[in-house]
Parts: sequence; C-alpha cells; structure tokens
Amino acid sequence: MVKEIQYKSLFPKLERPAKDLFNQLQASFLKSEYVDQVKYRVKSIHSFSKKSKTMNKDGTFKYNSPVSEIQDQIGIRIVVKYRSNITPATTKILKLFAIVEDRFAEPEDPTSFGYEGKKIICLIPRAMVEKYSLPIDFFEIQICTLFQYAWAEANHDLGYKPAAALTREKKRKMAWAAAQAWGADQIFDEISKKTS
Amino acid sequence: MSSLSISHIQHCAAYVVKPGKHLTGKSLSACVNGSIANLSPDLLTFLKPFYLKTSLFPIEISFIPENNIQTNKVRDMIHLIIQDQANFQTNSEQLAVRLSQSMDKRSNTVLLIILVGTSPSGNRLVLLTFPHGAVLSFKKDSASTNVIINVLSDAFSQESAFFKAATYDGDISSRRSFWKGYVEDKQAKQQLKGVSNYWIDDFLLSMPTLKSSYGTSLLSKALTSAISSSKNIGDKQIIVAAATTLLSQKNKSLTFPQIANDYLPASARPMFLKKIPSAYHSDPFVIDTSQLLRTINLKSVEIDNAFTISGPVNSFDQRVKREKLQNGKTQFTLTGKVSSTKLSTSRRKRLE
Repeated sequence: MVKEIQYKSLFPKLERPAKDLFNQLQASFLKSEYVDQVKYRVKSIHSFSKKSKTMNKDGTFKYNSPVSEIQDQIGIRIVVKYRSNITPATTKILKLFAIVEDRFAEPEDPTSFGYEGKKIICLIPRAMVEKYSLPIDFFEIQICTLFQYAWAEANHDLGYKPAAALTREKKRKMAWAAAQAWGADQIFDEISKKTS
Repeated sequence: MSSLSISHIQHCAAYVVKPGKHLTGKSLSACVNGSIANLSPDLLTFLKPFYLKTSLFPIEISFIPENNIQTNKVRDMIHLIIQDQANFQTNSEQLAVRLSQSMDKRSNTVLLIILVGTSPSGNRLVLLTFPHGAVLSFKKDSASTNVIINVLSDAFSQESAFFKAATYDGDISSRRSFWKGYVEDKQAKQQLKGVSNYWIDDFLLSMPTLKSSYGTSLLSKALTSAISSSKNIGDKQIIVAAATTLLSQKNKSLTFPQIANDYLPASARPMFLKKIPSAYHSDPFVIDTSQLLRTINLKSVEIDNAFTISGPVNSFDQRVKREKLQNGKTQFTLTGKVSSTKLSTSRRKRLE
C-alpha cells in the first residue's frame, strides 16, 4: 500500500522524462525507413501495483523496493517492419544508452507460441535523472515487428481481462494466432531480403 | 540520518597490490598483501573527503552486463561486501585480487583502500588507489598482514593527488536497482589520456554511461549553436574547422571541456559548454564521426592541406562545383557574395 502511494505521487512526474526519451528515440530513428512507429507509456498505477506484489517461488516478494526496482515504469516500444530490422534498431540503441539487459523474449518451449520481441533495459541518461530528480534509474525499450506488435496488443486486450479468464480453447486460439504472426514475420522477412 | 559524517564508515581495508595479470594461484596471491585497516587520525582526516564528497567522483559509470543479462562479477563482489559484513576481510580481498589481475607490468604497485559504511540513501562503498610516495607512503608490515600507511603531510591535497577512485551509493544491496557508480582517475588525467582503461574496463567491468551516439548528438547541437551564435566570422570559421577536425577523431575518447579548450576559440567556449548539461562535463565519450557528419550539417573539403571550403551540407554540392582536371587535380568553383574577408596571421593566437 505504501509503495502504491509512493507510485501515485511519482506517476505524473514520469510523463515528461518519458516524453523526452520518446523524442530522443524518435529523432534517432527519423531516417530509418524500417521503423514503422515509436510509442511510449508510463506504467499505470494499477499495473505497477499488480507487479509490485509479484512473489518469488519461495513466497517472498520479488521486489523489496518496487519504486526503485521495477524497471519498466517508463516503456518505449519501437515497431519495425521486418524481423531482421530488430538487429539494426538494437545496434542504434546500444550506441545511445547504457544498457543493463538486452534479450529476445520468446516462449522457452520451442513448440509454444506467444509474445516475442526484444527487451532492452536501459539507464535513464544522467542529465535527465538530475533534471527531473528521478528516483528511478531505468527504462525499458521493446522492439518488435508489426505482427508481433499486433499480436501483443490483442493479447493484452483479450488475455489480461480478469472478468473473462481465457478457456483452454481460447488460449490455444491465441497461441495459434501467435504462430501465424511468427510465420508471417518469417515469410515477409524472407521476401524483403530477396527483393532488397 | 540527515547528514553524513566520518562516523558512518563501518569498515576499512588496505592492500598493497602489485600487477598480477595472467598470474594464478600462489603467484597471484603474493601480489596482494593487506587486511582490515585501523585508521590513524592522520589517515582518517585524509580519507574523510573521499567518503563524504561525491563531487570527487565526477564520471558516471554502469556495470557491463555479462551475456546481456543483469549479472556482473564486480557487482556481485560489492553485493557480498555489503551483505556479508561479518566476512569483510575475505570479501574485500577478492576485490584486491581482482585489481591485481587487472594490472599489467606497465602499472606500478598501488595501495588499495576499501571503505564501507552507511549514507543517507543506504550504503556507501568507496574504492581508492594511490601510487607509492605521491601523497601516501605504504609498506607491508613484516610482522603481520597489516599495511603501514603514512600520510605525507607536505603533499596533502586531494585535488593534486594521483589517485583512482570509485564510489557506489544507495541501495547497493538490491540486485535490481544497483547498476551505477561514479569514478575519478586523477592519474590518467595528468597524462591527458582520459580515464585509463584498466580501472573502469578491466577492474570494475564497467563503462561510462555517456554513450557515443548520445554524446555526439549533444556535441552536434552545441557546435551548431556555437556557430550560429558567434558574431565574428573568423570565430565561425574556426568552429567550422574544429567540427571538421573532430570528424577525423575516430575512436578517441574526449570530454566536452577538452573539446572546448582544445578545438574552439575562447569566445565560443561559454556558449558551447552552456548547451551541454553540466552532468556531462566530466564524462568522456567516443565521437561517432559518421553521426556527427550527418547531424552537424556542414560539409568541408580540404585542398593540399592548406585551403578549406566549408558550408551547409544541404546546399554545398549546388554551390561548390568540382571538376576533375587531367593532371589528377580537382578544380573547385564557389560562387557567391563576399560577406567578409579576414587576414589571420596566427591561428594559435586566436585559439588562446
């Protein structure tokens, strides 16, 4: 509860640094034709509250100090056209920000399909931390393809509604849609490479 | 706990560290001698500012993630020192051994001091190294594992001392939020080489947080601003020439004040530095020359190492016509109204 109150007061203060980071990235990718769009968001109070209560397997809280430890309070999404565009976009980000993590998120089981995309945890530039007196050091950049983005949006909309818990069949349908998105990415990437 | 005092120091260890790169086992162990240190009043007075003044550590660094996930050996060592203070000596010795492994024979033997304690924002850990004889003299005590340290009072000055230092402050025990530190390297600055690699890269497994592309974008904006705000055509030309020279500084690590002092006329320095957030005035970065070329909006051609034609990139090719001659030379034609002419007898004089 205390953490939620802390975040409620922090939440409006994150909008300007989030916008600054968004502007910086948008300017950096302005001439990159492979980027479809750049978006940003500040983590909602509800989502922060939910995440701050995440437990470890041993029953302890995952976050001892959620305000400083939850690293995606500011999130930027870069949507690229094709799968092979993720690498140059990542390279550009690595030259721009100091990073603490850079991994491709995908289902561990090779026969499963679900969210896929690049997650990069970056340090908020020093001048911005000082300018806005931020109590946080990190922000998250996700890079995904148009198909990955479309699937993630629909999954977020349909799959995270507590009132309508998904049945096994619906979950299988979501996984099937993820598999279609994966397949479409493969095909478009292949054609793009052959025609460019 | 509102203000920090020397009483917040809880542990101190001192080690004489010799270069031990590529050594292992007993040979490596022999390079590190020391233990928990008792602080004499002289030494405590000497060390006090390093523990209290964060301004002594101007360069921000972050740990380099291993395998691109949130792990780092040095970060783990620091965690251990903070979380297991009962075994401070054993845990701090690991850092001393790591320092030895990072030093090759080009480095001299140093005194490593590790201070650990609390601060208003959590914990604080300070790492300091000093070469022998500059401000401190030190030797291994033949009768114990201790190091005998003497403050050389006539050389006492933190500002002039040759030292390397790092400080970590805040919630250092958190594996999720602890990623940053601050460093200083007086010794390297005296040699005008920027921060020496073994301290940040090899020993601390870290990197300056000001990345090349971010730094270059600040540089580009500051140079553009300096050019447009300069009222003197001669100064404008020097700044343009400076930008052109900077385009050739590939892989060179520089700070903004270094760029201002070494490349810009005195009159342009204040405007240039005003455009750089003060947080970055000490942070070194490598200029991304291709990005600078794209963003500075200047194009320049130098002929016979003596004559330069520079201008806005957008109209450069329309205004400056070039024609290849049969003798392998190129003829340039520039058409326009003369805004001013200037006779400069000494470029050096103007730079001063």
